Amino acid sequence: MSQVLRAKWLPLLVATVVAGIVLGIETKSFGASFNVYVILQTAAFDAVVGLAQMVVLAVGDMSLAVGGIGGLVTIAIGNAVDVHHWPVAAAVVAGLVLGTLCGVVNGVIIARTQLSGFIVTLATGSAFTGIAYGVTSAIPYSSVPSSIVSLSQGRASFFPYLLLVAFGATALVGAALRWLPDGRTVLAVGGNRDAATLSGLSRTRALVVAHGSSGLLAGVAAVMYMGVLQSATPATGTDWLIISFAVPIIGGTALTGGEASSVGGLIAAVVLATINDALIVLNVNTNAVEMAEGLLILAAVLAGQVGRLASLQGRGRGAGRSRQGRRSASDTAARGSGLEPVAQ
Amino acid sequence: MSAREPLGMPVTPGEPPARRRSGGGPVPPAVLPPPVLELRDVSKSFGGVAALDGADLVLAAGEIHALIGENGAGKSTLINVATGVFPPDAGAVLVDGEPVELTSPRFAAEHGVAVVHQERNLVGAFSVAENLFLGRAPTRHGLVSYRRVADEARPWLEQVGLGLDPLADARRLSPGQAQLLEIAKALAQRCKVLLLDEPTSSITEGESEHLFAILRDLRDQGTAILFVSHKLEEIYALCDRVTVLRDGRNVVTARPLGEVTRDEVVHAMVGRTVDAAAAHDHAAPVGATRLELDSVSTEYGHHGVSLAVHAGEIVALYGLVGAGRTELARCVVGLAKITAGRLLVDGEPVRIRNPYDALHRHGLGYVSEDRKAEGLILQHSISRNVGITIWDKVRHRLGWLSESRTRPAVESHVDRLRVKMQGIAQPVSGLSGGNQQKVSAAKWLAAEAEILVFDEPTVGIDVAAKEEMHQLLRELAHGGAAILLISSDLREVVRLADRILVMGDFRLLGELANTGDYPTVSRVVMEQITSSVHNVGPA
Amino acid sequence: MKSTTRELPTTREPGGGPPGRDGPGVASVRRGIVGWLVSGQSSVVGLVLLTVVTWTIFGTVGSGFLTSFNLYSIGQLAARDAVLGMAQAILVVMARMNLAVGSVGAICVSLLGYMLVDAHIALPLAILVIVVAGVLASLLMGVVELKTGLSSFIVTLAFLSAYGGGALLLTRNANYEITSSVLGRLGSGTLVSAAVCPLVAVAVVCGVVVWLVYNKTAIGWKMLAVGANERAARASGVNTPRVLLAGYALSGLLCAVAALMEASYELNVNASLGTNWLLPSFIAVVLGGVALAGGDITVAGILLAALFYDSLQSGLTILNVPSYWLDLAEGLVLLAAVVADQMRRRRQSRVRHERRQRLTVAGGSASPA
Repeated sequence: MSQVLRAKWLPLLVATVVAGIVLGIETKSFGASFNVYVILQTAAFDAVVGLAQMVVLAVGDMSLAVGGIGGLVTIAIGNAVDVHHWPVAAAVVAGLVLGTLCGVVNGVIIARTQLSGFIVTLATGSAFTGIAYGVTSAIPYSSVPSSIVSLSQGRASFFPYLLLVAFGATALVGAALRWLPDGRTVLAVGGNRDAATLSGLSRTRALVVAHGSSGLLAGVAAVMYMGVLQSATPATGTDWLIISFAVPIIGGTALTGGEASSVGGLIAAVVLATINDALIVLNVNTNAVEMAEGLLILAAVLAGQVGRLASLQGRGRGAGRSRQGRRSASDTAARGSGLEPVAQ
Repeated sequence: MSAREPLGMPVTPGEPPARRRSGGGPVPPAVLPPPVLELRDVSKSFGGVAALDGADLVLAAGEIHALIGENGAGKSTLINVATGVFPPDAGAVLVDGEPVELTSPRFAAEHGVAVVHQERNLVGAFSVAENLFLGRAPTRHGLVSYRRVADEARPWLEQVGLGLDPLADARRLSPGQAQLLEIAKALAQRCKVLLLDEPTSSITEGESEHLFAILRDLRDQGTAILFVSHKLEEIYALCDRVTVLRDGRNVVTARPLGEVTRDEVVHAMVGRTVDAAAAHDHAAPVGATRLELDSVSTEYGHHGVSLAVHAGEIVALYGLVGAGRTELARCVVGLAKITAGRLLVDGEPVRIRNPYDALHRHGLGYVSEDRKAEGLILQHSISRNVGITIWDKVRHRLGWLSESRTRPAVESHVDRLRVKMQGIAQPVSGLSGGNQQKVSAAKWLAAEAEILVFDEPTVGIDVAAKEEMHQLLRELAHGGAAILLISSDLREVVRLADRILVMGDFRLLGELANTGDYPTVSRVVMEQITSSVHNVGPA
Repeated sequence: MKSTTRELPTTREPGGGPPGRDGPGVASVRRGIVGWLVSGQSSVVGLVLLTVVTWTIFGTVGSGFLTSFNLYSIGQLAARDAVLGMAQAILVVMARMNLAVGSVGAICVSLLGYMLVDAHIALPLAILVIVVAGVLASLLMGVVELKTGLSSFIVTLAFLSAYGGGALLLTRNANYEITSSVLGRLGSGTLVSAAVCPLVAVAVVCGVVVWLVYNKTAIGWKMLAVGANERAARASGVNTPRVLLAGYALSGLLCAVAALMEASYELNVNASLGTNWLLPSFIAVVLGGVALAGGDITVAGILLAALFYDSLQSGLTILNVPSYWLDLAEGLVLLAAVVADQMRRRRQSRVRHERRQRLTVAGGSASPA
């Protein structure tokens, strides 16, 4: 399994490293330690946002509420510290608990109503954003605790301390998906829902665990962002959507569920951040990055499709005997609202 | 580990244990313990149609029990009841003589009843060993311990002869290996009863031999095995007793195979009194060749299939579940790909890429086997369902389309088929099965398709509608249509067909002209089917 | 199963399901309360009631709600949201979704701004160009979906950022101030009375066109068929790829119209227009009674949903509810509407039954065993 996943982002990583080195030689500012620090800091943050989406993709679902939860957690922490003068640790813990709860709510609604994660999280995500804006009247909290700021902005030459948080989150999520029974349940339900249900695994539990973890990770991302920005603003999360999908998909996580690579996501985050930074250094409009991200997602998903179809066809005659004929792997990505691609 | 002694101690397959019996050898047990699994007088209906009607199944420990039946005989329903997918409407399920209520497959597994379906159910991204323990992976300190998963899986894998790395991806298994894995999974759950549904349908000959050796060993260790199959050769080689279902009831119950001849089994499967009324009219003149397959291979695995259908002719394609008939039909009408050979319409080789091509360029229609999911748009009206093939033809030059423009064609065909409805605006979902099937067929008639494939057109519909459908087929043939009729109902085939093509395992097994004499025709057909041994070539 | 067993009459669903699509005049013969509730018709009546109630309440409680000024601005916004809803509905009807409605709108409005302000192109020609642009941009997404077999979600998600970024890139974040008086009168003039914005007429015209497409053209009927049951439509000889592309094209056209509408009353546009279009487009669809599973459309419902929803927002604003709570309301309304829609569909209890079917052993045709 790890071979298949590695193959996808390896060429991209190599290309990025090579291009980075070339750029570093050509442009002095690119290779400067401060610039590398900026790249890695962005990558660290993107990686955690990507993890928040990845755990939901693993269960075969998706969440458009990652940003909304991020915003809500941000203002909750901001409020606790600024208005109620809570100690930092308590505020952060409370914020993370809130994020987890928001995720759990999503998971429960999706499991109970059997609606697709898309439409439910579209709604709850905007509700969370709305609450964040409503409570703060769109005014950000300006005093972010110094401990958070020094964590988010601190560095050792080119190495941002934030990257440690990203490493930690990546390792924990990867470990949870590999060694925790609940993590295996999430992947089983995402990989083959019927096999999982027939073996007595609970889809409800898998959804709640996945969405709850997503909320928790969104909360972590919110804390990181708050420190980088030095402001707890309710606008946090409004532009997290694309990144949350781009990172795991480019990193090799399947849209259909059952497979997730947290390390792949980390690498993808570094790649994306490097591309972003390179384009800025080269004075290319940053909007090109948005475009590039969209195209990269398409390419990554397509590459995954090709790989999957190839392995299906190689499986011998018995595999072809399905009465339904072949269906593309992505058509199950938005299951629940009956979405299907058009057959050729 | 459980307190009970594991049923299957790891044994090297192939080693003959002392008291090995050959399949069919009459060794009646001296003392009869209660059957390990019994389904007593079980009935189950779906939508008013009885799938099981007081059926019985008796499985004893230490036997391989064959379950035989045509399509629609009730085998899958019986298995579903036995594994807790749904409860029976009437009757009882007993495990070791005690009545139990099996509320879910998981519950059934806990009572020792495990099933290996025809379709694989594995999580591809997980390892072989983890699939074996799906949902019950051994842990150490609350975390999944992959070493234990691999170690504890090994004996079970060895027992079924899967000598591969337990941590290999399940994705990489061949269908035969995947099936063995599912058997190992069942064994690891200490199953007392193992139900196998058409286990040799997708595996190679070598894998079948291996499977049989494993099954014999399991039987000798006391497992009760239910072997659902239609391949009499295999059944006579492997099994001890046989039960034959027909139309939801038992015809033969738990008879030792040594006491039942093949003829008796075949007769049990299909033997019926057939009324002579409405006998087939063989004098119908047959016209030009409308549809021809020349050495066709398909993406489903058909090889070298050749057949022809002439104008005015009804050619029946008969076979059992998994024979590949529907798949072939789908390739003919463009729903799936032909990979080799030629498809000819009116003598010209054609390439049909989709049903749009098939209908609008070549006049080919396909009345789907799955009328609810593919033959009809249930939420739409009868008018919309019947007219869908002619919208482009009846619309105004400028693109205008209205119900009034489609009404004449729709009404005339709906009347011709005598669809019982409240009006053409009625949603199709409100019609009975028979009338739904008529609507599903009507749209092709409205389009004036002249080459028609009818796929199981009378399954699940009432007697009167069936008669009307048969009458329709005769009328269409007399009117010059070329009809390919896919059917699993031998009576229907004998009544309607001019020629009968017998299909099994994605190959054409034989062809015969229909003499109209049910006993002889049915016997010839069933013999052709039940003597086919293997489907898949060497891996 | 076979003919030897007597078949009991098939159980019929109460209400017989949604009425056939025979146009508004033909009522389904047997329609119990349940059937009526499930049908699109009930949304329309419900929405009319809700709108009336909303207007009554806010008219009484809030001062200034029922003024022609306020009603005018409601109409302005509702008109745009209705057209947006239609753009989204076209794809939802085919059991898909269009996440890129806003980005296609961004492309259109950027082109419009550039042509009117920088290139001084006459308005009629500019309008033509952006309509073509909207159609082409949308068609491209359809082509990608067909060629790659990817779901509409991922394709339109990718294009959401590709087009959005592209528009910003090409315009270099420029702001365009539109001075066309014709456009100004469209967006800020009056029609008949001071309370009615001409954009309302545009929305109604679009509604009529969409209604005609779905009720009186072959392509519309085919889109409904593809959405209701794509397998069956395909097996019945419908050219599903062509139908899909037609749907994307129509959706793109409506995005262009929506962009034009917003440009006509904002008068100051840039390529970030459309970033807040996604939620309103879905709200109009879901509230309007259009099933998320596809196969069914209620144009009047979409128009009324937009009217009701924007009336609600306006009323809350008049009552001095901070606008941020309106965003919360947006999410909650969508959630409530979606859950209600799901419960309505559940009455047919197909979901549970299908799961059962899938877990049973494959054997024979549609009926088990």
